[in-house]
Amino acid sequence: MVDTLPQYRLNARDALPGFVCTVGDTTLRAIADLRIISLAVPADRQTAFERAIQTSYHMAAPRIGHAAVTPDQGIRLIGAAAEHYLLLGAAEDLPLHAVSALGDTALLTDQSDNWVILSLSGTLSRYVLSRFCMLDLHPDVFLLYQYASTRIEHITAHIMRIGENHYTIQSPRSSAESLAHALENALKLVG
Amino acid sequence: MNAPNRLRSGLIDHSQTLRFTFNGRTFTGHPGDTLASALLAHDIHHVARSFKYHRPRGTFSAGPEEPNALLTIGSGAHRRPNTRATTVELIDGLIATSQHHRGPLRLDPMAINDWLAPFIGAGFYYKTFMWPRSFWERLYEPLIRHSAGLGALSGEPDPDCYDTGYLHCDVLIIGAGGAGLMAALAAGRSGARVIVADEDYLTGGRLNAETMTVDECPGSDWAATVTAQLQSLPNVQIMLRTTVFGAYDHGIYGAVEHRRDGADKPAQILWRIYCRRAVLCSGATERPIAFANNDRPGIMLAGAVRAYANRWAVACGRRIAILTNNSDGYRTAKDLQAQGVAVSCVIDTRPAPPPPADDLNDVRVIPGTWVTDTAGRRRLKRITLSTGERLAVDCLAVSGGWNPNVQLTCHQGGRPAWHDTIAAFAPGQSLPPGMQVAGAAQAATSLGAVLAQGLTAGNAAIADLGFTPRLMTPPTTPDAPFSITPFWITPSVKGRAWLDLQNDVTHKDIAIAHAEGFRTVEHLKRYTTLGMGTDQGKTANGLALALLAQHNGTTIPAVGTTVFRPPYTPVTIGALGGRTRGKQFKPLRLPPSHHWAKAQGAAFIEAGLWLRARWFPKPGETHWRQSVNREVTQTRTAVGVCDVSTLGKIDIQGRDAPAFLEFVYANRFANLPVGKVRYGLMLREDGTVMDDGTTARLSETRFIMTTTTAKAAEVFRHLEFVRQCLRPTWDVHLLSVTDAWAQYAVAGPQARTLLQQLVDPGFDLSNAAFPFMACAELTLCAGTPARLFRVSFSGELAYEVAVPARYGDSLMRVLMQAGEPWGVTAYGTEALNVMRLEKGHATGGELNGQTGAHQLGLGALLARKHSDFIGKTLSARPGLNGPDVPRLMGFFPVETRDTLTAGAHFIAIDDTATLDNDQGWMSSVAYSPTLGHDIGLGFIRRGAERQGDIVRAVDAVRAKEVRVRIVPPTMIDPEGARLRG
Repeated sequence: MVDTLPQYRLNARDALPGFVCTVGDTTLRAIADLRIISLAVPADRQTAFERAIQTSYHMAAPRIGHAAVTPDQGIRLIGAAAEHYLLLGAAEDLPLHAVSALGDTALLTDQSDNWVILSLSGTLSRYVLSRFCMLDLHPDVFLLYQYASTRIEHITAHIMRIGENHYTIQSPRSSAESLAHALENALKLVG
Repeated sequence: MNAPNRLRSGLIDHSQTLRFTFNGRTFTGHPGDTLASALLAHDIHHVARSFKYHRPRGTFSAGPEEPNALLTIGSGAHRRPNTRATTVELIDGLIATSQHHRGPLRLDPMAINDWLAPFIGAGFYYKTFMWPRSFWERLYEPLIRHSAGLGALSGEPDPDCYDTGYLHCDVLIIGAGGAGLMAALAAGRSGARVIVADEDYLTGGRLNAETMTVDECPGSDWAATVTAQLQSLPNVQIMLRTTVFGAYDHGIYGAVEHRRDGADKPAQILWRIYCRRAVLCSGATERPIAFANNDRPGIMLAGAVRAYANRWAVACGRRIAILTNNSDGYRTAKDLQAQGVAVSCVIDTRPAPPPPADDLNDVRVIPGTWVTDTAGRRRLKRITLSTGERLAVDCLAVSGGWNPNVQLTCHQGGRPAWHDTIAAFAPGQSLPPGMQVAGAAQAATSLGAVLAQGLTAGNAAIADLGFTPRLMTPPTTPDAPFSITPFWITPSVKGRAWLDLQNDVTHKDIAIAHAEGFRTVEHLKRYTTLGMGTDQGKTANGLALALLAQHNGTTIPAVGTTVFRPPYTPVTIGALGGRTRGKQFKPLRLPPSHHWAKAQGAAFIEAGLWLRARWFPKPGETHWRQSVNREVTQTRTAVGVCDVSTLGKIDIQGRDAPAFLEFVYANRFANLPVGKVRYGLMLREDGTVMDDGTTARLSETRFIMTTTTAKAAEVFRHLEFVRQCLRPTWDVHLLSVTDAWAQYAVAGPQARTLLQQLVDPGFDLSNAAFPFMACAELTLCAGTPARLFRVSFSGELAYEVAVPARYGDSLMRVLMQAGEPWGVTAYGTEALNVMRLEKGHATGGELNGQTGAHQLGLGALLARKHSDFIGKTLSARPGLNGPDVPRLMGFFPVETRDTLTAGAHFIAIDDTATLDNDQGWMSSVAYSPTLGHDIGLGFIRRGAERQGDIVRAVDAVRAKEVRVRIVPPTMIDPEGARLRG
């Protein structure tokens, strides 16, 4: 039995430490310190879950492929799949808060380390993405806070529109460097 | 340099001068010129040599159908061979060179082939080079290959930049001529999202080449006005220099856009266009008439001669004759006259042609006559008429009628239909879903009909989609009637009449093909090569079909056409490849310790998309085997650390999670206690092994499954299928957490000692408290959340420790630092493989999708009588369980200095190495530093009963044979004392 604190400490390393690339008014950057919590709703708990979301976060649970945001815009809830949501926010205590807020209405899994999230904003954003993904990102079609899964250079990616010309790209952490390289290269080609 | 054939007017900017070179000579042109028009302005007709006979060839057309004027554009690594001069937009500094000749263009010694023509007709090499047989590959084929082909690539990597992308629209308009612009205007004004794509660098299509008026203004002006209107609509995107080359399933069209944004920007972009409706307005291509020696420079399509005069302000000759079988030929005469170009005569094959719509002044019209021969080596000098009359001309404009460009209508199996009114094939009834055709492509023969059809098609497309048409009336045009009497080839040709200029196919070749039994159009194409190449027979097919019909004694519709397949025009490999080259060829997945490993100088291996450390060389190690041996030995005697984060990790939660695992695994899982790990064997429905791994139970309703690295995605997909389709009512939730956790194997006698330096107080690592196959959630290094699994792939006392991926890099460094006093080593996939082989664990070589549990020695796991699992029934079939089914065993070389090879087959000592005597195969081999010789795993019949027997491992591929002894698959520590210690 160990009874003293280890002398070693572990330091966190972001998947893309400090990554940012700007061409004209368009910027691609890695979002650090975002917590991502997977919420799986058990069978027969959907109504209770939606009520808990409304009560605790003051928003309605979104449909699949859409996101809802809290009134202060601090937390997003994404309808990722049937009975599956993603809760995103910057607060360090997001997981703990979610546990207490949602109780047994959802099975929680901290997925913060599973994903890297890139932000792409600016007038070139849609054109950069059109070089990679087959989604129709026209603003009349891909609405604000719409969320869709696709592939970028063979890499799984989930794209969400969070502003007029602002998107987030959520992709597995292990391929983050390839994804960033591809998007950066495309931004330079389009710009 | 003065351009003697340059006219005034046209749609070029005479005020600016561009310089370019052709075969080293400098010429000038103007913005708006094509390379072909600029050369013709300088009276340069002879620009190429023909494919087989090396005859001088000149520009024949004014568009993408060009069969002759294939040039190499650019120099060095940038050179682009086989480029149609008729589609190359002239830019300043352009470098063009002719190709496919030896020596200068004017004096190509390969022109001797023309004299040898009687011996090298269609299919000659199928028959000529039969003997001696050994010469075929060594002499004949290299010789033919050297002579064949047109331009040549540089042989260097292409420095140009390419890209790919996706576009979406409601309506895709293919072609921005009169019909396309009308369709676009109709669709655009309704509010639909419209993309207009045209291969030209100017909208308007044939309107730019004609003098006809629309709404009482020149057609080109009308096109420019409509284009401006379209550009003002935010819902309309006009893509010039963009060729739609293919129509694919589900409203997807392939297009290549040529761009001129600078050297560091894509020169070409391959677009995949998703549209809900498509309107094909691809126009029509003029076809020639065949007569003897009809391939000389200066003999051109009449519509092209007219286009060069009207659009590019170029007279293609100083004295031009026109040969026609239709009313369109007269329009050429009229327009040339209007430009002040001397027209020698109009030769009309029709005995009594209708009077021309326009007054041709004093141009001589010769009805019921045709051309029987021509003269002039590098430029047309004279033509001979069927009347015997000889005329001195330097250009002959030939019009045999117009073929609608139906190619894209056929890309999904549609066949064109014959139209007598134009004597050509037009789109048939079966079009790609969502496509409509309008304009000349739909056999419209007047500008008024073209515009009306475009409007109708545009409105129909948007009405289908729920938009309200807002444009109802087409503009007015002064239409002239079109008439044609088919005339394909002159009677009794003396000499050769060319049908396919690009492939040097003459009327004699058709006769040969017919005589030899190649009488269907598809056979004809393959025997003669007619219709192949960069132009795909756009000017040739019509003539060939007519001639084949004559030979077959049938009609052209009865002959039919060959199948049109994408691409419509050539697409460069660069465009198809796009940006997927170099670092972007494929993505890489990096394990959490990658940057640390790279700093250690690790050798890497690509395992799927993962880049894994293979071994970690130390100073003084000159061979990878030294590094691997050291890593194995150090792990077995001290402690080693290996990044195993690449293993698939699946979080399984829900009330029915235990039952779910019980169903997807062949062995029991519902009774796995919380805090324990169990090895799991997963079968496919057919009873063979899909994958294996360990699964840990973290709580009553939560499990963490690990899969092999290679099968992670396949297993997850399989589990989702089971969850969603086979057991949809169960409360089970799956989540891939592979990337979320950094996971390291810590193995060796000192593994526990090392980990004790890291775990936080209160966690007991002793064997009693945390025995083999235990698991726990804990904290490390003062509070970092972690998971610990006491599992062993190496056969040593071992753990797998996992932390959130962000701490993975740091944990690797800490493990190496903390383990230093105990001689820790990092080990890569090679040492991992050696140790698993020594221990007899199966991986990819053994789990190859063809082996069952019994073969792997795991048959006892399947002994579940009272519960169902995937693969249960078929795993019991005799083919996977019979006594003769090869069993997994270990193999030692009898002579320990011998090396083993994977893939070798086992043959009895006295048997010959034949398939009948095959007893099994070696699936994996490695050198074991622990045992001091090579070891192998493999499958051999009745292996368990034959321990100690000696067989031959015969490797026919490597011509190698080694005697091996059959041993148990677990080659070290068979009792498992080490891993339980």
